[in-house]
Amino acid sequence: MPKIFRYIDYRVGDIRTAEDITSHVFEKALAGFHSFSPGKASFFTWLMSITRNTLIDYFRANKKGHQSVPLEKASEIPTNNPSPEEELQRKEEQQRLRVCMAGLSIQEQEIISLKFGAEMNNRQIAGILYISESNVGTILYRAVRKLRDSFKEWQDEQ
Amino acid sequence: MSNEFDMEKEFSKNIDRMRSGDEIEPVHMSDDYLSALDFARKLVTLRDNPSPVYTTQLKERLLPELREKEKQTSQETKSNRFADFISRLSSNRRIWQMAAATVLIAVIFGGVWGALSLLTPGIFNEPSPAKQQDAASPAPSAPSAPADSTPTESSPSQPASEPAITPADTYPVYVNAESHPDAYFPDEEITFLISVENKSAEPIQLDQFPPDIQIERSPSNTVVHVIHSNGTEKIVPPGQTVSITISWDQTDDQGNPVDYGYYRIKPEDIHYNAKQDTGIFSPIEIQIVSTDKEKGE
Repeated sequence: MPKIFRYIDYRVGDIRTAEDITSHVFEKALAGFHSFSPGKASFFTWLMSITRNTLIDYFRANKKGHQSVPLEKASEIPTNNPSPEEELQRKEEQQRLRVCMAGLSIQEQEIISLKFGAEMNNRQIAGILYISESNVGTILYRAVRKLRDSFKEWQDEQ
Repeated sequence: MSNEFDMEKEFSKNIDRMRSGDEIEPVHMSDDYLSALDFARKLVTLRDNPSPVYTTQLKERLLPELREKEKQTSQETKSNRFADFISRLSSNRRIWQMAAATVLIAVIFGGVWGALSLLTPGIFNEPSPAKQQDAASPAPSAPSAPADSTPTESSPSQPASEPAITPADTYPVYVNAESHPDAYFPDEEITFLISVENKSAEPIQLDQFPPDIQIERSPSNTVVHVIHSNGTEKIVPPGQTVSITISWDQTDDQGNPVDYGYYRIKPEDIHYNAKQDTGIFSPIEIQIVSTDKEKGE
């Protein structure tokens, strides 16, 4: 479950929404478990298909192709609960990361989410996205560098 | 190019190692590469986890449903057991089977006898299973290329099949592979049609068409053969499709015949418009059957 949750969190950029969608995914999986065929794919691959389809439905319903976090919200940090300085720093960086993710192409966001969120290797990602393993590596490297540069710009401004 | 490819491949492997807590091995020492690796490390540490409260609530909500499903499944199993029990009530099950077979044979014999009595004597119609006929004379539908792995270009503007998951407005280029039939005997040449559809409103320039084709063993995804098509740049007008027929002689990269089983046909990435992005494609699966098996199983 954490892998599914993290993947969704990377894609939607909001924890509460990610929790809702994760719940939907597992409910759908439970309802459709009779359709799972071990010979065709692993359970995790099957679950990821449900997850991606659920996300597509979510984005279509919200008329989005990807997460979008308005820049003015990037600095709004939830301050209901007091937290140590490190935790605050972490939250800031997470929020900024979400903004930077929104600047990537959809394919780049997908690959980052599958790699860092769902913890899939390049071969698994290639199988899900129907691109070659080498292309996954290329896009991943490019996307991480883009994120790094975007993130660094924000840090320099701070 | 090869160095860059190795670096990207190593970068991905290092991320996998990082995630699993293993030591990473930065062979490439450029500042750009090392800082990208550092940032990847940051991405790993910045990941959110589901809260314990949420996890508990989800389990509490789903577990009763799961128990309900298990209950339903066990009820279905009980019904099957009841049916078995009823069938076992007739202690002489074998006699019932023999009696049923006898009645069936008698009906068939009576029918044949009746037909023969009306028709000219001596005519004998032996039932011929349709599958045996299909296996004896397979008919490939696509035009075939020479026996070695070479492509044959066909006319453009053939419609492609529906794309996979991704919305059309996000990915304008779709690559499709088709093979008819989808099962072959070992001595048959396998042909498949590769088509590229431009769904956008602008012409696109493919950097290589036809693409190289990767043939993988399914489900292990082991690459057994790559068909190098020596493609060139090609412009595809908006709304149009270009296609090509490619053949495979069922050999691996060493020239040895491949085993029976399932194989995936995957076109290599097709970049377009100065390598900005790649088309989305759906690989197909074909089966190589032994001569003892019937096609279509």
